[in-house]
Amino acid sequence: MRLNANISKLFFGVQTVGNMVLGIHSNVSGDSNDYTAGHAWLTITHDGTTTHFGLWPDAHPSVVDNGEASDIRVGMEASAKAVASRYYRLSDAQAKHFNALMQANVAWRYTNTCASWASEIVEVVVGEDVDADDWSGFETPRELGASILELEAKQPTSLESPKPLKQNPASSLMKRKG
Amino acid sequence: MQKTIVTLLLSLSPALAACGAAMKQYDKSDVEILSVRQLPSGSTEILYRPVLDSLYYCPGVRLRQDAGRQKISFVRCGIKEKCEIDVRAERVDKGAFKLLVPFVPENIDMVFGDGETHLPK
Repeated sequence: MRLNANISKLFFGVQTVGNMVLGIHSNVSGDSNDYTAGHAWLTITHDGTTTHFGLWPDAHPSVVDNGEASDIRVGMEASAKAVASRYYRLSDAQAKHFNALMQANVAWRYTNTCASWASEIVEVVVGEDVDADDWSGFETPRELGASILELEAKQPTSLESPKPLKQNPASSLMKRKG
Repeated sequence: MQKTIVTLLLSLSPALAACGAAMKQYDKSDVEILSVRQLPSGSTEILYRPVLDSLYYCPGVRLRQDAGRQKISFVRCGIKEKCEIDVRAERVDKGAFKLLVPFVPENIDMVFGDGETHLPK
C-alpha cells in the first residue's frame, strides 16, 4: 500500500481529522523476551477504522525494499496481537502533526528501530515519554512493552477510553525529517 | 549522546551489530495455528501466523522423525540470513503463512523452544 495515498485518504478525504485516537503497541514485554524479539507499532483510529503504522527495515522479507524511500509501512500489523497498548485522544492539531510525521522519510536503523520510532512519535505528538531504552542504549520492543504496561498500571487507557487531550508540545517536525 | 554510545558499541562489537542474524526457535505462544486441513493425498495443510518480528521471519519448517512421530519446528530466521529449512512456507496474507507437510495431522507434533504440542485438529 502506498503510504502517501493512504495517509492522504485518511487525513484529507471527506472525513475531518477530529475524534482521532493514537495507539502505541508492542507484542512483547519485559526481559523474559529476547533482546531482539518482537515488534512495536502505532495505530490511528478514526470513526471505527484503525490504520497501522510501523517502521520496518528494507531487508525484511515481508516488505518490499523501497530503497531510499521511507521505511514507515502501513497495514503490516493489522493482524498482530499486542501484549501492551496505550491510547491517546488527539486534537486536530495533533492529528495533523501525526500526519506530517508519517509522511516524513524515516529510515530504519539499529539506532532507529521500530521501538525508537514509535516511542519518539508519541513523545513528539502527545508529550508522553514511553521509554524504549534497553541495555546498551538500543531501543527495543520488549522495553517499550514494559514501559507501556507500567504507564497503563498507573493510568489505564483503552481505545474506547483513551488518555484525554493534552496541549500539543512545542516540538519541531523538522527534528524527525532526515 | 545515546547515538554516540550506540555507535561506539557497534564499532566495538560486530556481533552485537549483527543481532538478529542467528536462527532462533519460536515458543508455543509465538505461533498461532489458524487452520489444519488434511488433503486427499494424505498431506496436511497448515495455516499459521508467527509472532511479528522486525528482525526475524519464518521461512518454513524443519522436519524430523522421532519414535514414529513427525516433528516440525518453525524456523525463526534473522532477516539477513538464509536458514536451512525442509519445507518452505508460502505467505498467504500479511502475517499468515501456509505450509504443506507430507504427513497426516494425527502424526504431527510441533516442536518449540518451550516444549512440544500436538498439532490441533
